[in-house]
Amino acid sequence: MGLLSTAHVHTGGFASRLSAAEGVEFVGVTDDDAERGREAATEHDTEFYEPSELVERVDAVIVSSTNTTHRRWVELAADTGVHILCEKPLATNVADARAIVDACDEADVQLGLCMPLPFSVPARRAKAAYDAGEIGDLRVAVGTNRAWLRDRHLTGWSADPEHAGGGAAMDHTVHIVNLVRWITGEEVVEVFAELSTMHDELTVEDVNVLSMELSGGSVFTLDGSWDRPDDWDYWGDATLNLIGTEGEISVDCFDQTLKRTREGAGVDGVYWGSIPDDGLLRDFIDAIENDRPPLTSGDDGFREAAVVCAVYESNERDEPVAVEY
Amino acid sequence: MERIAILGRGFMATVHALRYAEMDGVEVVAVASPSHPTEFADKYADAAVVYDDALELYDTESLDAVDVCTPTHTHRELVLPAVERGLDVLCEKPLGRTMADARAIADAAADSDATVVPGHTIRFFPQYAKARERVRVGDIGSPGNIRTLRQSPFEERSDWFADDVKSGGVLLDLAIHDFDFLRWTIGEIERVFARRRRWDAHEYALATVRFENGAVGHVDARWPRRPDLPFATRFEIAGDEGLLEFDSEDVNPIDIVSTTATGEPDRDPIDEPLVKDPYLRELEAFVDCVRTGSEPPITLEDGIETLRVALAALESAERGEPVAVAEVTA
Repeated sequence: MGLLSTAHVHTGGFASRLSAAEGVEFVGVTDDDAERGREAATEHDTEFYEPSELVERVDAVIVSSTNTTHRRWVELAADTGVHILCEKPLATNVADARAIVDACDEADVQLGLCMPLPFSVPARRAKAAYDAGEIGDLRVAVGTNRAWLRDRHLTGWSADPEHAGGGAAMDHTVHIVNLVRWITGEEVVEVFAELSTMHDELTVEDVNVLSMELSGGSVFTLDGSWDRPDDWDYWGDATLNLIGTEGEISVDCFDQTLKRTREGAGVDGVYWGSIPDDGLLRDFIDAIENDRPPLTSGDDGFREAAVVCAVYESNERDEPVAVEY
Repeated sequence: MERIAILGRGFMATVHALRYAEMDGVEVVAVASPSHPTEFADKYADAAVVYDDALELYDTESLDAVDVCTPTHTHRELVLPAVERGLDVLCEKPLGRTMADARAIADAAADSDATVVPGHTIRFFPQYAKARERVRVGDIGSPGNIRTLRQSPFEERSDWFADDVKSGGVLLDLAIHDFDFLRWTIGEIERVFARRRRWDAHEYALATVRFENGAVGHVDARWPRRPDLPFATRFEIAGDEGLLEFDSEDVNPIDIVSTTATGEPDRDPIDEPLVKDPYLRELEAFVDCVRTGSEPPITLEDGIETLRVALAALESAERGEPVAVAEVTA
């Protein structure tokens, strides 16, 4: 496997996982910014190749690029017959998302999304309870996926509309939408977005509060804002509360942490739970070997990208909008 | 296929049997307990032949290893004949009730090819292992003051727990987890001062410890006969440059409330939201050691030295004065 682009903040995490994963050879990385790519290759003790060369040397890639360039990288890989695990969101507009899914279908390669939450053990327990009917019929869903703004500056592009395609709504809508879709099987049918910018230095929204309706008639709100202060004790959160006719489920995917205080560095959390990205990568490899779609497939990625596009449309029109799939 | 016998039919035997059942390449071929554990075998190890005498089991079955989940005072008499037959042993903590028990086990192991692994599960709990890792990489500087708490409430339990001669009470049975964590994470303990109080069926013990490196600790172990209280663990590790804190009561990654709940206890009494729970990891490490002859994840020496600390605490509580760990030889 290889990494197509090293622009994404998750590059380091996936590079370490590819190096460590059983049955995987981490062949190398490429990047349209060759200097960034060569630096990443050195840091992770692997090779740098030109894009066309890397895709010839691998069976599968992780697209770890800026949000707006996913289509170009996916098309390069698909044209070479290489399977693709793509960072989220799948694309920043519906046309690109459609083109990505079509390119992979035509090339007969598997397409998966970097959606770790379905591999969180607490989330898996929530799904098992939901599937067993423990909360009856779903009525209300409340999710949060907040984050430090400070992490957006690590890459130099995550808060830049030219490369990110938007702000917090582009970045932090899809994870919990994905979790709700996976657990309940419901689709988002309508979205009303309250987007805002509270940090002066930003040109994109950092407040992302969404009110949605699901296909089964339930209501669903999601706060995916970059609103955690720099001194908050964790990078953010991922929570979901599902309320039904027979009970409720509360998931807090990153609640397994030690509280750490360091002189001069303040307080933070040290996660000790099982790492969802390990399961994500195992599922993708198993999907390739068994010729099946990954747990979060290209079609799921398309639907979740469509919700994001509806968020921006709602924000523009200042009214609730139907999600078009 | 590794062929394993489980001795005992209580809580730990149940937890272990459930996990062997989900592991590849392992079979629980026999179980033994004086009560002839037919019901236990039917429920948790249905391929197992049932014995009420462990020696008869050893002499009848073809085995690779024995998992001793019996009351503490029986460990020596059950582990020795297994080791003498060359069988690898996982022995629940404490390794023995006395230092003489532990030494006898160590002597037998030294004369045999068999490996004896003391079952100090704490080392496979990721919150404890992560804390140790952070201490060792220097997050908190030099550790100076460490507090632990372990509360294990009960409603009904076997009589042997309440019998000091058999179990050693809350210090030897419960606090020993934290003594092991402290030795593993901070270093050897020089002395212990412990106080215990027992009333009705409750037992509480508080122990202060001083480490050889100058650090100080406080170990709080609680056996309330109060089923309304939660099982809880806590620790705080303070150093000259930082602090690590954990409280199991603050950890709630998944919570389900349902009118469809039956109120029946789960078949598996352990419920850690992890890909692999600590007991499964402990047993996998043991079976790996049986299969490959690799170094055990926890040495016999660790089991002996941790027992020595717990016995020092017990002796201190009896004498009402601090006890140097090195002086504990009985």
